Amino acid sequence: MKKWWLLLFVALMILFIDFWNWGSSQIIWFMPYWVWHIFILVLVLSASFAMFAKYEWRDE
Amino acid sequence: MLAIAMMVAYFLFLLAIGIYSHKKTKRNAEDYFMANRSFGPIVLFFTLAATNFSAFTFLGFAGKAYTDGMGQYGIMAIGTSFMAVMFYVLGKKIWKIGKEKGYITPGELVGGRYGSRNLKLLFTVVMSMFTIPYLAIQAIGAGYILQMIFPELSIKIGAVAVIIIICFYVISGGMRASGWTDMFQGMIMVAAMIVAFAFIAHSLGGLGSATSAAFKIQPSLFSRPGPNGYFTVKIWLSFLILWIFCDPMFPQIFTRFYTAKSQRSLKTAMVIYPLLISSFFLLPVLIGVWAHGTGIDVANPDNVLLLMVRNYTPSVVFSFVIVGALAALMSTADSQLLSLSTILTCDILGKKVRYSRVMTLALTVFSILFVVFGYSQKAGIMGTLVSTTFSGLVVLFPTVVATLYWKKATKWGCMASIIGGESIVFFHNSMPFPTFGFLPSMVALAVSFALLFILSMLTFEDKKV
Repeated sequence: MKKWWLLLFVALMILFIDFWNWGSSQIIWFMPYWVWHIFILVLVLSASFAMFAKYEWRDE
Repeated sequence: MLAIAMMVAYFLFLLAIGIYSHKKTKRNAEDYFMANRSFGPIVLFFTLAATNFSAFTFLGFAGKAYTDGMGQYGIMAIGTSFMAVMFYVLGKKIWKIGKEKGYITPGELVGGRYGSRNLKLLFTVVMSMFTIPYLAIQAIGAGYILQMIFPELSIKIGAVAVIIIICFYVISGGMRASGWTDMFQGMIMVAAMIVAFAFIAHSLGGLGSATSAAFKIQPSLFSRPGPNGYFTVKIWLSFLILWIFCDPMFPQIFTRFYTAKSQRSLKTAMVIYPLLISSFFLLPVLIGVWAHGTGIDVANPDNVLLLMVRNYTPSVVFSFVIVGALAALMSTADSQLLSLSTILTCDILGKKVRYSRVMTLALTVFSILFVVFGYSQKAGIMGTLVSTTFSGLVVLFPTVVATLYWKKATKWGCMASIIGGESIVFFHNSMPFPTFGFLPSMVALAVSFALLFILSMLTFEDKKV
């Protein structure tokens, strides 16, 4: 696994542990802001996995 | 009456798939246990998802969200999504080695690397021992569901009845039946949850209104650490690590890595898995939180999802959700029962299909004993699993990753890692010790990694001799 893929996944992991949003309950539409943050990050993670599977994962 | 009719139709359809796949399955071990390693991308994805999304997902998420708030979505969705990276880290290698050497069980992979039957047996016994409570929890979930239809029925009696039904169903089919029924059950499960969510949201005046009503009653449900202070940053981090390392150690997930037709199947599953989780996990959590705004009386939090569906959807939707919840837990339970009987049969008795049926019966008895004597309603589905299955299985991760990647790992290091880690789990259950805000399983995992490293370094020369 190339280093920058590892860096990308570690960066995403850090963003998932959003300690700066602790205590916040600001609602946007029907969910708190921080839930949207997680929801969108999971979608980004899925897109990252798609790129990883296409460009890094070599069939053996 | 409608619920019973839909349930019967569902069982009959499952039976038809089981009979069809039984006819398609050859009588050799490779085909019965591994479906000839033929699962393409779609079947593999659905069988992984349906196997992993269980009574815990359907009932436990809503129950935990009801008591502790929206944080439940975060601790489940993040780690479970990230776990898909293990389809590459572990899955790719497990698939490749399994195909080359004809492995069927996780124990064969671990024991085979070091040429140690003792390590293979230790790994197999530990993996099985900690999966039985998870299997029993599926039955408990079924007990709750059946009680919704038959209120006079005790949860434990319903649970035992469903374990017995699942046992008969598993005995009649192998991995192919399990994979195909998982696909069917996975579709029903997702559709049922979406329909339930849509009807409940509509009945509560829309998404915004449902949230506002709950927010007025209990605003702390919408922030962390939640009303009971459960979701601390340390707990958040603990669950992230727990799911990434624990989920691939479920025997029903681990053995699925062997069944992939090609690496393309694993790649597809890796991409779609988080995509489904992002939205699917949100639905039961929102339903659980919204319950606070409705004023319904919830005696047992694990029942909140079914109560909301019963109170806020038409009877036809309620019946469909009952079938969906049964699909969720049965797809997990039959996969667990099959994978457990597979690993115990192949690792202890030999690769004989007929022995697997006897083993399935024995496992069913163990599960019934757990349902009758081991389950605490006070702890709930989530609490019971975290303190038993998840903590016990995560300890196996260091051994597996070292087996695949670390040349200096030895059988003594692996054995010490498993025994030491599990000792911590048992010790904490009987005499809780401080874990500095983290889950106790994190301490067990750290000890397990440390023992693996130390003992392997100390005994590495022995391996060369």
